[in-house]
Amino acid sequence: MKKFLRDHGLWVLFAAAVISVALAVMSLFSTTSSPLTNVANTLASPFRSACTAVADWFNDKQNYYKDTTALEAENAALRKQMAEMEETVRQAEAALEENKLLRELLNLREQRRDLTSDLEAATVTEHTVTNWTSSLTLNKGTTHGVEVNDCVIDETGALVGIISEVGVNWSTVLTLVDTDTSLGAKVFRTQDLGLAQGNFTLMGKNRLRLDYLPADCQLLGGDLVMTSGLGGYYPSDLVIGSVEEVQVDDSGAASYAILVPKVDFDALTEVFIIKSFDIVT
Amino acid sequence: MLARNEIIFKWTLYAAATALCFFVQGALLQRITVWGVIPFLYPLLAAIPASYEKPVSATIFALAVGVFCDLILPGSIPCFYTLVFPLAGLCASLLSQSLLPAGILCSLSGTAIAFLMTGLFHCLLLWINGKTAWGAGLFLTLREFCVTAPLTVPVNLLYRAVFRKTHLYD
Repeated sequence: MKKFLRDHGLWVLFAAAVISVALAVMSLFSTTSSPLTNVANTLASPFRSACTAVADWFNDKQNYYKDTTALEAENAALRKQMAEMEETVRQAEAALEENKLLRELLNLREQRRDLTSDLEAATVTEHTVTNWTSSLTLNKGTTHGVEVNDCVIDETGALVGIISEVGVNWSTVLTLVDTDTSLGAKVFRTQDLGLAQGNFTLMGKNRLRLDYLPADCQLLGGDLVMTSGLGGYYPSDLVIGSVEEVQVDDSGAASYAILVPKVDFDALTEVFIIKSFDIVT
Repeated sequence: MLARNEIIFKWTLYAAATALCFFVQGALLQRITVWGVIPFLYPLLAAIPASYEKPVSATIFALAVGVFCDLILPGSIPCFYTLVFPLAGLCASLLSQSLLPAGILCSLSGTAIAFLMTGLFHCLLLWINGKTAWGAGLFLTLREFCVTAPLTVPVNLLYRAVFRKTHLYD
């Protein structure tokens, strides 16, 4: 080993440097994700789904057994009856939940004709994987027509984030609070325009900033902030969140608002990807 | 001096141990939040095995871990961990060769260096992108290290077992 490293160590290091540069270059020229990243995540995708399924299964079991102490006090006949009823209720709740989701989606499609009908339902297979980003991994990819920069919304039509990477059967969403997220926004009440962007200091608190506000803006706490749709990159009027407070920046010349996203990213299980939309003028 | 098949066996065991840690991170640790952060094993995987190996092989192994991390983790640049982890591995190896004998204390020190380098590089990239957050970034690094530090013990034991298994006559 020592001899090998002495003779070939420099070559190995050179090869390593070439690999890292190649990775960077491949990523730079790729419109979706770099080929190696795509392969790695495509292979990892079923494992992510499996881990989520196992974790959900454990959570289900944990929740189910929480109430066993109380159930033991019941008599056998009632227990049997309760078990039957619980089973029925569980099925009904699942059906109701699905029904609610589909109704909300149907309603959203009726309200937002600019979104055409090109929404792709996706399941969140993984939440944030590092402490330095705020991202979600979805189980839909290029085979389902998903592309980088597609918007992701929840069942109420509130914006979740933007697709940043996409592979064959997976995609990564950078949420609104991630530092790499930046999109045109407007305040619903005053129609003031600004730039909603993630801020690292606020990311841990699940907040984002609304920058470049006009100097004379009169924002109030609770004002609704939506996408402006300017430039046609993203659909307009998707709810981003509401104003929590307005602050003056370090220079004292401009103000910015801190926004609370409407979506609770940790609770998301099902989202919808907007694959195409009509530009409303 | 190990024979070729022993070298292959050793690095296969290191890779298997690392794969196990990747699995634990993905399946379990990623779903836990303590003090506002997820326990983050990856810097340990660059630093701890490196503390048992010579600088060149430690650097190459850490580089491989970095490349794999870049493939599966989102980041602001595509070769973030590929750049940071070899340096962290080299530092951990040099530390064990010159200052502290390989063990828990050395692993902990190597891990601290790895976290510090990762955190500083993150902060540097944020600064380059005009989103300066040195204070918040370093505080996050501190929390990441504090939450992950207890895991140094089992990870160190795992890699020490691999090292002892493959260096029976050292």
